[in-house]
Amino acid sequence: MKKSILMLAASVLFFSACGDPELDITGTTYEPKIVVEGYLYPGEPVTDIRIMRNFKLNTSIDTSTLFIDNAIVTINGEPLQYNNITRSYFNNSILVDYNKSYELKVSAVVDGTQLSTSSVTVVPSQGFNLLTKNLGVNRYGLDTPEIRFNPSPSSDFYALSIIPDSASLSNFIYDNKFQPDIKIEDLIESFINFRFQYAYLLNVSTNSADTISNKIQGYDTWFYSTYRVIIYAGDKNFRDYVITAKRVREFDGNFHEPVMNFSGDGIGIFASAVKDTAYFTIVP
Amino acid sequence: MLNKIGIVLFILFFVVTNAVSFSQPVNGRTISGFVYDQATGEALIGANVFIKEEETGSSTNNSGFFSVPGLPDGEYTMIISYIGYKTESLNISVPQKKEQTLTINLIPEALVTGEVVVTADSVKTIDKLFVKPVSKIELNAKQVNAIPRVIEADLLRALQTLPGITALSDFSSALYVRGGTPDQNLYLIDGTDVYNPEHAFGIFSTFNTSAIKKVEVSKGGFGAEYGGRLSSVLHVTNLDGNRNYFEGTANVSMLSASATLQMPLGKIGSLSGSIRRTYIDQTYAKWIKEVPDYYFYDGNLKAFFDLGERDKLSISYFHGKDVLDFQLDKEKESFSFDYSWGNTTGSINWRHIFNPKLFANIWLTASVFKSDFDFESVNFGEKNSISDYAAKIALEYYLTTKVNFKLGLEQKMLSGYLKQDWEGGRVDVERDRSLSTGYISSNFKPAESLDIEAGLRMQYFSAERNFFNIEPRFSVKYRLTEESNIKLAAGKYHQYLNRIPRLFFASIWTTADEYTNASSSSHYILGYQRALGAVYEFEVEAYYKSYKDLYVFNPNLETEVTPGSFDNGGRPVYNSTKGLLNRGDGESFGLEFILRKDIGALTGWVSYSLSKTNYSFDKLNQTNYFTPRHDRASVVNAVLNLDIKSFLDEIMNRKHYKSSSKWLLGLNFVYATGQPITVPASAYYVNTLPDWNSITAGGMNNPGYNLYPGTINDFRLPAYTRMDISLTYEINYSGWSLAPYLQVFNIGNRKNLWFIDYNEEIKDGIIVQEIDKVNMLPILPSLGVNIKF
Repeated sequence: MKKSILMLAASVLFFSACGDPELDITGTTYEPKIVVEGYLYPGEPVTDIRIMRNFKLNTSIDTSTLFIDNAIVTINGEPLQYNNITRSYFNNSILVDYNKSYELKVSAVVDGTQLSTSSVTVVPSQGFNLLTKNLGVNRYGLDTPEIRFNPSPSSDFYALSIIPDSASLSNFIYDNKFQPDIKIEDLIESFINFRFQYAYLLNVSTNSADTISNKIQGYDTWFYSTYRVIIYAGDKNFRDYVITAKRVREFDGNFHEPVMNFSGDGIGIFASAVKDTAYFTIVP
Repeated sequence: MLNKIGIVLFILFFVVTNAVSFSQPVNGRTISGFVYDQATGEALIGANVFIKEEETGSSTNNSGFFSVPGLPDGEYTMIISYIGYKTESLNISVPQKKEQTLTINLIPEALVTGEVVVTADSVKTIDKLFVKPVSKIELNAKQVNAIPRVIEADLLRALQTLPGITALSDFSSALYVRGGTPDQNLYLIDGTDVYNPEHAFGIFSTFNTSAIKKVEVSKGGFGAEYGGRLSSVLHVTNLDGNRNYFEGTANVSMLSASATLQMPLGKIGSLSGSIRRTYIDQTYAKWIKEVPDYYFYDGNLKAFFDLGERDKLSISYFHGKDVLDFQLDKEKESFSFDYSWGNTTGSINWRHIFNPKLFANIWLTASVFKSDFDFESVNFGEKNSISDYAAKIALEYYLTTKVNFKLGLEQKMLSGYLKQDWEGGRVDVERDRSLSTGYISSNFKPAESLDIEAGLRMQYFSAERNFFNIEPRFSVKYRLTEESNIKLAAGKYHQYLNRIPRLFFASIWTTADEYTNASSSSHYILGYQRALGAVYEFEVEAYYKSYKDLYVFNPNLETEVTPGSFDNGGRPVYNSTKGLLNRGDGESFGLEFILRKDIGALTGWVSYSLSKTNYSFDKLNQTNYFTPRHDRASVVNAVLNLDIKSFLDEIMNRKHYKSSSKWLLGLNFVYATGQPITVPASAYYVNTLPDWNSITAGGMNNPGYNLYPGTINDFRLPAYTRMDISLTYEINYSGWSLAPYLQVFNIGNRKNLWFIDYNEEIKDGIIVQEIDKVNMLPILPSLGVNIKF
């Protein structure tokens, strides 16, 4: 009897410890949000403020409703108008100034729900100065292009957008030390990720007399080409978005909230920056 | 506030009253001594000493010492019992001819052989349960090694089979005790604190099971002698060494080889040493290109000196190290890095009997953890260290059979550094801290059925700002019936250390400082124990824990961290913890059931725990409560060990004959509710940088969408279930034994989910998200052999 009970118990335990459990996350609760993408640059009018909506994964993206064209959008109380061609909001009469604060307010209906949000950006001060715009011709693996600049007194964050003028399978640097065995199909699949590269400098000195330098690393250049590097001296919103928006996914598939500095129902970025451009070439 | 003062005053009143009431000259004599294993001379921890005529007794402490004061003159029968040993009965006369410390040697008997005979002089199961403190579980080396393992026997993994102690994955030996996190566990090895006790990126722990004599785990409500952590205490006592003859064990598994040797040092003492090393770097790494050159080793040495009847001295040393030399492609020039980390600990422990009533334990301990990472290919390097030097004294005073006291003082010097260097900056943090601790507790047994313990622990932590905390502790044990006990414990606990767990890298420890408070927790535990027959133990415990000022790593650290200075190259230098951690509060509560059997052909336990943990953090979930990642609502464990032949004899009522060989079957089953996780709920289009402008470009060349998370930890992964078995054939021959074994981890090949890998693709205007399940360990058979000589 005792033996049978034990055998039965062991069998039950064994069979419950087999199998491949199902995983279905499609039932996850979705909350509609107002999505903002807007940048202000000193000396330029307010343009290209995109107001969009988020959408559920695995559902058809209705491009006709992705961009919200009937939102009420204001900056410092001044209304913005919608441009059907660029699908963005603008107000040419607002000229962005250094060191000034701008508050964006948006209200819109998404999925039948009235949503509203606001965010404030403070434009960095004057002073950002790129010392050399032409970084020359650099041999891959031997020379390192170096960005050098004087910082803005109110910005300690600099984002570098590094994009080759020409990017194709033929000028890809196959003989690299980071992915030396890359397969052509993987390259094609991730091509866009090799082409668009960015880096950032965090918490640099804000003393305008200082010279900040940063070397462009080998893992930021994947093609033999001429590159253009746009350097953005960003405000806090710029910094928080660039650092956190793409890093919401942890190693084990767990997600955490990014820092976007919106109050209410908004996500995305409303930021300001001072920018300049440098160039360099990578040759074998 | 008044409540807190009231509790402290009550405990002070209790302790002082006990001291004053019983400070009058006590009639009677004191019998004291040590209890040893007759075969090896090892001191036995927790052995029961019972004076039959007086129906009173004591149990041995961590040094094997006991004291029974207040015995009137007369003839007594002293019964000494310990699980796995033949119960000894001694006739003693009081007063003795001369005051002496008794030395009692118990004869070991195999746990699984022979019938269980409950005789009149045996100590009953319920009495053993009564002696045990609330929420405490004890395991010996045999029990730890009998649990089926993942290739390598591992202490922390063995503890994950106990109720209230859970694991996060097959790849982690970290312990989550009653809703607490691994940094809230105090790990002590021979009285020395151990930090980051992990090998192989946390897959295995640093405790070598061959060297272990006894493991005590307190899951909560622990007494005033322990502190500095919020959740639990794991105290490992290593073997002192065989005092009678040379003895050795060796183990060869598919991962490592290990050996433990013990020998007497003449009549003065003994020596014990263990060493273990993995050989992946010498085997798999040479055959399989993708396997990195990696190994770990550890070893410990412990010397025991019997300096006389009243003085014993132990010196112990441990060192363990992991070394990884990684190269992406061993045949080409490719990026590479080196990483090494390890612990070194040492302690000197002097035990002195001032008189039969006063026992002292004095320690000098040192513990150092260091790691070194060099990733030259991307110009990144890191050095991380924490060291802990401590002097401790613990006094035990046995005033009467009804009252005893514990007093202790501890001075700890902590220091640590973290240095990182990369293109964009440096981290340069160096800290020195001190922790001064004093405690007093009193145990009062007003009747045979009632046992009350109350204590106070005072801690002063010195950092950029100083912290002083008083922690009241209280427990009551009451014999409800002849077969059942009821227990209650409560206590306040503070912790000044916070661990930042990191994937792949060794954890970093920070302390309370100008930006972070001391974390605190209150425990309330109610337990019920029942002896079922002669050998079964049943326990149920309910607990509630509150947490205040918990700290977890801030995943968005870079948005808040600010440099303290700039180096000559203008790079930021970080040297403070500001922004590093998110602060929060929380609570855990639950119910645990365990049915356990330690004697007979079939041993083991079956347990069930039901629990819930809630967190509320300042910068998460708009401060609303949420369930943390390590919460497991329901956990079922079954650990069974079977001596097959004895068991068959037992159930078929056959006569059992001792044999030189036996087959041992081990089974481990675990079911746990799936882990909570935050999954993506939606996507949105925003370019990474303004000039990328890929939204309007559309199509495949569109890296511009981002995923946005849903409600925090609102989704649960599928339940975790696993069954392991082991089969061992043990042959004994003339003092030697050989035990080849087969272990099968996850015998049902259950595909337990480790994590989710998301792949998104834009197809026909839809972001299609495909989910890949990344599973934990599959069925994993392993072979090995244990040799004893």
